[in-house]
Amino acid sequence: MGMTLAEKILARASGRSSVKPGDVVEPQVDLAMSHENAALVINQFHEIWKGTGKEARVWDPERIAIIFDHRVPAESAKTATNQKTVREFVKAKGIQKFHDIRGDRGGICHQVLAESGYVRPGYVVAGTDSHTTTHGAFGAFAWGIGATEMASVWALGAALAVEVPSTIKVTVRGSFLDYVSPKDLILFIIKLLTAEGANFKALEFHGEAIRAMPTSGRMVLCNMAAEAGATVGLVPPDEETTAYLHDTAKVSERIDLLSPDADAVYDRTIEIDLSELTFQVSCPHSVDAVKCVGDIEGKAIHQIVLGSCTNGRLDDIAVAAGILRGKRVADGVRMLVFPASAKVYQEAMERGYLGILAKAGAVVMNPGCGPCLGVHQGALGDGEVALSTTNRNFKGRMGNPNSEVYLCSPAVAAASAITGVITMPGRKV
Amino acid sequence: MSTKQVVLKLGDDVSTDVIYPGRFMATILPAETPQHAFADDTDFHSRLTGGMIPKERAVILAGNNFGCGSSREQAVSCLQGHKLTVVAKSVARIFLKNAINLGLPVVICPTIGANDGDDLDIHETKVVNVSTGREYATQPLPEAQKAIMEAGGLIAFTRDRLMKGSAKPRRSKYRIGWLPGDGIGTEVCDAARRVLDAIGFEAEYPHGDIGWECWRAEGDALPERTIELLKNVDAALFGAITSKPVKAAEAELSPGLKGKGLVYRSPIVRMRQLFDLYVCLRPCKAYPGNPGNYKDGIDLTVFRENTEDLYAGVEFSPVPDELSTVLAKHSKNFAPFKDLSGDAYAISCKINTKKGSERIARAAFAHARMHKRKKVTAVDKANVVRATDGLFLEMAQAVAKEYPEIVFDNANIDAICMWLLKNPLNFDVLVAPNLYGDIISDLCAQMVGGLGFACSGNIGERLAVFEPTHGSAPKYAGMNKVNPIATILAAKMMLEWLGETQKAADIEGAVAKVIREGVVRTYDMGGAAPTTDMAEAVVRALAERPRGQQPCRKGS
Repeated sequence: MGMTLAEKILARASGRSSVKPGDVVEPQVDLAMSHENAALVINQFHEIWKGTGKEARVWDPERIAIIFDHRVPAESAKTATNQKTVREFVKAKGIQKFHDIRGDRGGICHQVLAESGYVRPGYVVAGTDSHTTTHGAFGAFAWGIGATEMASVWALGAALAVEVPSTIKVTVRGSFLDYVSPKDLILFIIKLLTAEGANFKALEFHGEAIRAMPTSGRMVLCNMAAEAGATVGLVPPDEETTAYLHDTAKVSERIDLLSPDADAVYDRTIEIDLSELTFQVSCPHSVDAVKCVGDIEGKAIHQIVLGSCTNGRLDDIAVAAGILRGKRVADGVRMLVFPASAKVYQEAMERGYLGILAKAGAVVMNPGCGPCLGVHQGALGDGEVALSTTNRNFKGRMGNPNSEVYLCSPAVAAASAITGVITMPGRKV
Repeated sequence: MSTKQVVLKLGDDVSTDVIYPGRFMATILPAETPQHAFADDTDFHSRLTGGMIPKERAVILAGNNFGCGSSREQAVSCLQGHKLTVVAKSVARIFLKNAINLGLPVVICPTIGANDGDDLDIHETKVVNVSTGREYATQPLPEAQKAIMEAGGLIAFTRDRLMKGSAKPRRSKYRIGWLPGDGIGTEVCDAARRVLDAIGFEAEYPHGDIGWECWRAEGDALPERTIELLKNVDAALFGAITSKPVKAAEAELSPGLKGKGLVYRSPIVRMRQLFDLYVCLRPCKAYPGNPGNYKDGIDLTVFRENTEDLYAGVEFSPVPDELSTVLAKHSKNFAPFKDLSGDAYAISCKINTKKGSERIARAAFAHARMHKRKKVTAVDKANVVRATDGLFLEMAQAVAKEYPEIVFDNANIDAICMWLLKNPLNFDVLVAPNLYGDIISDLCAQMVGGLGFACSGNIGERLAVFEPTHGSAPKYAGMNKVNPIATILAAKMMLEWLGETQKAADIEGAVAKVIREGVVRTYDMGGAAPTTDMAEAVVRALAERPRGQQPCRKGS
């Protein structure tokens, strides 16, 4: 019996010739990623070693990556102290894949991992962040775990009791209409599946539209696979993957590709034709409450957020700059721009995008997670509404349970910034 | 079963942002997170933090996809701190995994119907709503997840893995260094291999040359290629080797190697040094029915420090004048010796380090905790050998404080030899510096049947080498005569260390059965069965074992 991509990767990493959904395996981990919550991982890691009579040792410092992004620069003494603890640990254990708060190599963990070439096709990537699914864009089994589970991975080099997920195959045909983007596609898929539809499952993306999609777009799909509950989202790697790793991530080694078997068995198959896909918006307070922009046009907004691990990449900023060039962010609207990484920031600056956005009235902030998770930078007032290119709109997500968050693509965000209400891109304004 | 009360009824898709808002993410410690549980639900939050919910009886009743969203573990620890139970129609994957890992009780009950204030009886397979009288089936967790819960959470589960030594996870196929050595080493190793194959232990066994024949032919009893091999195995099984005094060793070298200044060095001592195999573990258990048992019920485990003490090899004979001058200067007790000529005496240094003493003590206590042993006794002569043994005892006392549930005492090496013979059942785990450990391990071994049963493990952080403690017995070589049980039990120790605990327990059960039945006995047990018959008897006992059989252990 053939295997899906998720099954193939887990079989290899667990030293088995084959696995099937429901099998419980212990895959060796190729990359273990954490952000500020590494402080909790460190605490749990020391708990594990306490009483073993052994020196606390990470299994392989080369395979651990730590990136500060959730609260940068620190918003509180507590965060700053957590970050300090992590820095000391990183130094003591000789962890090289560490990205501190810096304007040259910092940024959001998922963007930094990608552009640093840390992830390769076939890898098993564990991350203490639910959006670790992003790295499925490279054909890696990349999934989110808790801090204690990560502490266990640091100690053992393997993830324990991992259930092999069954896979939902998503085939996407056709090509995007003007300004319609991978974000609209994944919001549409989440609407079809619901927020729980892929819980304990994998999503595997196929079809000509996926083959034609750049890595950045594939990252959007895999990133938000988590919002349908998926353990992982996967795109079979191809020449585009190799080109990204060689040209953008500057990886010099040969890239070995892998693909699912032709006779792999899927849980179910979903087919989507892009020629019928229009702009989508996810409404409060659930990501699967998705509507067409046309059905909600005119909704007044107070804050626009452009950025995040979902939509803070160069092409996202380019689209927004294209729409906002020579235009003005509407009065009464705050537009906050968070490039996904220092590299993205620098390149957006060199290409003039940041200048365009600033001239239009947007505030360009430092790379990081920004207001996405409601910790600092850009909290909402009571009764305020945000339109954001981020990935979650749960109650209280942006720091205030009495506010609302709508999720959309960069193009919808930029077009709406000009009008101050939810607006379809491409309309004359 | 327990009766609990619904204190909060929630709908579908309740996210971790609702359970533990992101703005408190910098608060990480499980002791501190409960203050922020459901912080944005002001009514429930104030009931929770105001102590207005029934302690340990409170249930949060949720719909589908409870805990969706972030991987933040605080969303679990904050509920755990209030001793809440979650009953949900379904739970998001990461939240459920975090709950299992931390030990928060989560019951998945897809059809549950209940309201705020209802009493629920929670059983293993169903939830009964006492208020309505209706029953709802629960959805069981996968066995692998149950194992983590039963271990008391992932921290304990992972620690257990580490203690079993395999920093590497269990493999589908292992690589075991196979070092049969000289004389009867090959026969006893073959017997152990027969048992390992019979239990279905998947491994390859690359052969490593070691021992007297290597010395004679190559001038090195532990050739470089064997050292390289040991760097690339999961563990090793070592048979036995011949060793002879320095002059005899030189005489037996092949002609081309003589006179080149080659000095015989014990390969086992070298392995201990090269791979820092600092624990010498010697379990001594009186299997019922063994005619060699000194007393029934003996179950001792000796932890001998393996790398320092008097065996450090820092020795002087003759003693250089420079050294005697320095010693005379620094110790007035040296006065009786200071005028002796260098060749009139000899000095062997007893060197004990804080690190070495601490880590062997830790190994002993960690073993005691994991195997639910009751007592650890440190063996020393600290009343006389104050510097080194004093340091050893001090470190053991410090480590003992971390294990309050385990009784700790200490005894002088001379006294314990007497007490062990008088009341062996009064002792449990023994920990000692190298020389004393060497002495008591042989004493203990003889109390449970002697060399034919004495197995040991030389254990380090990355490698462990297991062996029967007997020698190569050249006079019995090739006679298919000696007892292979010590080697079979060494293989059992190896499986334990690799984390293959069920297989290890099965082997021990089979060995115990063969000894108990007393039908097949080798010469040392008063019988005449050959080595191979003993191995076959163990293999037969394995085939007859009830599945999942666990031998009785102290404390369980």
